[in-house]
Amino acid sequence: MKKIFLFIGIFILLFLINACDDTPSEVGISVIPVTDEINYKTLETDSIPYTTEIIQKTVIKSGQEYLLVGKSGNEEAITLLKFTGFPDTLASATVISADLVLHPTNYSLGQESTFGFTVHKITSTWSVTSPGNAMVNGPLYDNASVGSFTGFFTDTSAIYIPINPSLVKDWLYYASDATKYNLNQGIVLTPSANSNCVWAFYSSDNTIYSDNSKDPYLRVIKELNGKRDTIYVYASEDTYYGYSRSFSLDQKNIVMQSGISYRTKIKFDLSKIPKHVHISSASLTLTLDPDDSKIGKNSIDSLAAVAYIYNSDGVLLQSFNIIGTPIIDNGNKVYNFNITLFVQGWLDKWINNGMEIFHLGELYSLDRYSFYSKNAIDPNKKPKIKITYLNLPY
Amino acid sequence: MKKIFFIIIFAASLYSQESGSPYSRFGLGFFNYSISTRSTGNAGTSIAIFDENELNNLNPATWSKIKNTVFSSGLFYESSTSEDNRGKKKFQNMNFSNTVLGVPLQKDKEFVLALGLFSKSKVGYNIYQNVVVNDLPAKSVYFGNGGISEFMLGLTYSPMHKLNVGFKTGYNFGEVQHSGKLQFNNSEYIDNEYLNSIYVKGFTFTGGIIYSGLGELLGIHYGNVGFLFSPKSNLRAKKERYSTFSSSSATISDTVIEGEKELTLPLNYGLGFDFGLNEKYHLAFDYLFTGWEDYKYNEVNENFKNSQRLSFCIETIPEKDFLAPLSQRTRYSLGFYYERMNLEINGTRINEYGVTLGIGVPLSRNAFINSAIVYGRRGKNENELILDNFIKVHLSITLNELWFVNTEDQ
Repeated sequence: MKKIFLFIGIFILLFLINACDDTPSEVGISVIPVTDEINYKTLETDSIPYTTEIIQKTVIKSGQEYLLVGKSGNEEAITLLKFTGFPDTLASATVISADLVLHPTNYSLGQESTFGFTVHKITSTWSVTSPGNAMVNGPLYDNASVGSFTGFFTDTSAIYIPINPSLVKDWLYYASDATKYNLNQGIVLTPSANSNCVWAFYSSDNTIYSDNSKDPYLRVIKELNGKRDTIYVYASEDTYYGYSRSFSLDQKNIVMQSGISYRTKIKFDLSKIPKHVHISSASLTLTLDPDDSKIGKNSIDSLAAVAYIYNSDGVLLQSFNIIGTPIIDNGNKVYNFNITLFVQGWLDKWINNGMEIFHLGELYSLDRYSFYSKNAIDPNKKPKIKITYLNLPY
Repeated sequence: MKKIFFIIIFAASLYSQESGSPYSRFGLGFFNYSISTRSTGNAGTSIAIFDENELNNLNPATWSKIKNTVFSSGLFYESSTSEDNRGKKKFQNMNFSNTVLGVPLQKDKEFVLALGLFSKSKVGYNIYQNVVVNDLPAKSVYFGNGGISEFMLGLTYSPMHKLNVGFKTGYNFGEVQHSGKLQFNNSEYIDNEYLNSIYVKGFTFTGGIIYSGLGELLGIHYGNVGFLFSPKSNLRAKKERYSTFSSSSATISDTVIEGEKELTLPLNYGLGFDFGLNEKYHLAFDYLFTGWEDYKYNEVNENFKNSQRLSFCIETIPEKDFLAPLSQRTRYSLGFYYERMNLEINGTRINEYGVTLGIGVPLSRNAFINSAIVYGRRGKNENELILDNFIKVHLSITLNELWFVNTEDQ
């Protein structure tokens, strides 16, 4: 009896451990009803209305890699630096000379030969997180310059900008008196009147040179009690502030202005896509208008699109970024954005607030990216949208 | 050792590989007519065959002759090949079949209470198709599994000599899944995956009757005629669809839940005869009709046609004396069935037929092992249809015990 049970048990176990081939095959596909088929449909630009809107994004400027100085058309950038690390024992020292030492990057925008800036003493308080429009419109700095620079750069070697020693002498004095410490608000570098160029310099927060070898600093030669020596004071705070003298939010094109963080918000009307479909592919293609764009030398040439996900109370929950990289198509520079995730999210879960397109060098440059809009005369240059969705069987 | 056997059956029920014939795509899948291993060995012929050791599913009146409390449980293994003009595909399955308990409450009126759990329908297919989407190659995969089970409770009664009636109600429950995915080999396109689940629940009812006085009329050892009827049953079914969008940075799930809708299982009725030629041999025939044209889920019939099934078997026990050799005490059966199925595809009706072999081995006075082998064919390899060839091996164990029986009965 036991043998019979044993035999049956082994028989069953053999079946159990016999690995079944559970991979799909084409056999039998003809009997699957057509209602099971996953149908797809592709909608193109004409079926997906959209709106565009230029918005200015508030971005935190602390911790920037670069400091921008210069002008490009109506757009300008000023750099603010503060040096507070002086010893408090030098109040009576004589400042023989002082130089602001900066290291240019290889990014520039505009006519390099016109590049120049002047240095001014800042007379108001500021912080790196909000350099403030007042710096421009005030101006809350002395009109009298304490230094200047004219010229351009062929490498990243240090440049030395002589600074009025009396300003540095004041800073040495403030450093020795806690009640006057706050009077040292540093200096601002503003573009020269005839400059039509923007240059980027390494900031104290740059991560490319982690040994601080490219950080801005002040070189001071001082004399105290008949002894002359040199001290080096690195910037305790530095940032830049970008602004436009005249920027219209009503542009014929889709525009992104870096440095000032103007972005274009695009919102798609997805009402022609049924609910509960699966988005297999969705893309947005933009064609660059080179005549309306200003793109610097050695600039980042990628764009990004970001979708912000809010809950019903308007609280930001999450954001997703996608990158658009350029390709040359029929002699045009075009950017393709794979917005599949965004479209699926807007259809299923997310509040459709659209997406913001911006230059990935938004914080590192004063580049202007301008793309043909739906108003373009040449239909091939208009934005192209293509969405392929699947109707899932139910 | 018996415990080990039941553990293996339990393991097999969990294992439950369910790929199989694409024909199971329709409705709630293939319905199982022959729940007991013995009736499977008889080609499903069971409407008029009393069984002392196993409970068949078709006609509850057949339980009347149970003398001791009967417990049986079984499983089956299936190896099948589907072929069409695209090629051949082999499948293997191991599945739980049933667990039933029959308790004789009063012998003179042949009151028997029965309850059990069995697998009533099965869906299992796994198919792909190469497609082109926006000029890109893609692969569509269709996968189905699941099925419904039934927990049944029934009674038999003998209102008069040679007449037995039986009634059972079954609570049907289960989930049928039809899922699919579209796979691209292109990073610009996101694969999708969806799962449509249908959750079914509800009661079915079956009544049966057997008159066992035909033997005297025909001058044979014995003769039974049985009839069963199961009316249309309205079950409740709820459909849900889950789809998943997975990109490299986020996964978005979408669920669509449809409220409960009516699912109508069709009526079926059957007529069967069992003729005892002598002490050793008996012949049986069954005819079973199921009105699949009345099947509906959410008002959709899926183009089902009424099905009809004819089966025949001959069964023998060479020697009933327990002292005889095991091979003499073993029950042997041979059967044949033909079924005009409920499917009509591409204008062609799908038929199934098969031969069966059954062996019932009495291990002791209160333990039996029943086995059955079915070889069958379904459909045809023409007109964009498929031909299924399959072999099923059923195994079950039955234990008899005396419960609830008065001392004087013993």
